[in-house]
Amino acid sequence: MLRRIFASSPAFLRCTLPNRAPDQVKPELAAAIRRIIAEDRIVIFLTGTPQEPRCGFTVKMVDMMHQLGVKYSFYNILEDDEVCEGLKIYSDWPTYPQLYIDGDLVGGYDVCKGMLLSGQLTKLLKEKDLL
Amino acid sequence: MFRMTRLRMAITAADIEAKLRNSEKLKPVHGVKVVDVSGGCGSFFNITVTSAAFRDRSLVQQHRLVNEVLKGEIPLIHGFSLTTKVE
Repeated sequence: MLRRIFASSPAFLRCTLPNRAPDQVKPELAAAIRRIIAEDRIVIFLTGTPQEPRCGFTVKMVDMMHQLGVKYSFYNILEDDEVCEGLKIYSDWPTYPQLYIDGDLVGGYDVCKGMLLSGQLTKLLKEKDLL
Repeated sequence: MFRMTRLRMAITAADIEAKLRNSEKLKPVHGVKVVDVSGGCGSFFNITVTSAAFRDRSLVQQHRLVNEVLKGEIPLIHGFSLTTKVE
């Protein structure tokens, strides 16, 4: 009973969320994450897959990529809790999906949408000969 | 018989707005708008922040700045949508 109360308390949850830096991801996990990010020039970490998305933002990200007509690789973060939680620390980005181009984090869906609307995303892709 | 009072756990739009308005990282804040679009459940928010602190920063850097300010709240909500504007 008490444990449930404590476990439900936002204050308690905050205590279990220490400030951590990207370098505080275990070396083996960091290496695994780097390998995934390096698998392709464009890599997207999705909640689910393009065919079976599990989150509205993943749907929107996949639609955006389809609209742009770019080729990309994806990783379903629901398949590995360690990668899912480790990448948030590694990238210093708390949400999914996450888009990487040539190893660099571009951002989540909101950032990508903002860049698309301002023309920056198309420009970036063309500069890198990906479009 | 012991009756457990329901704990007030939900984050509110006002909580998030106050956090953003009071943040040193985002000063001077010119505008903050937080809307709970989960019907008051405190699980999904649309957030818009206007600040001079975003000047000369890329979009991903602007969002990171806000993520940093809300790092205590983000794990407690299901999701959020963020728009940043440079003042």
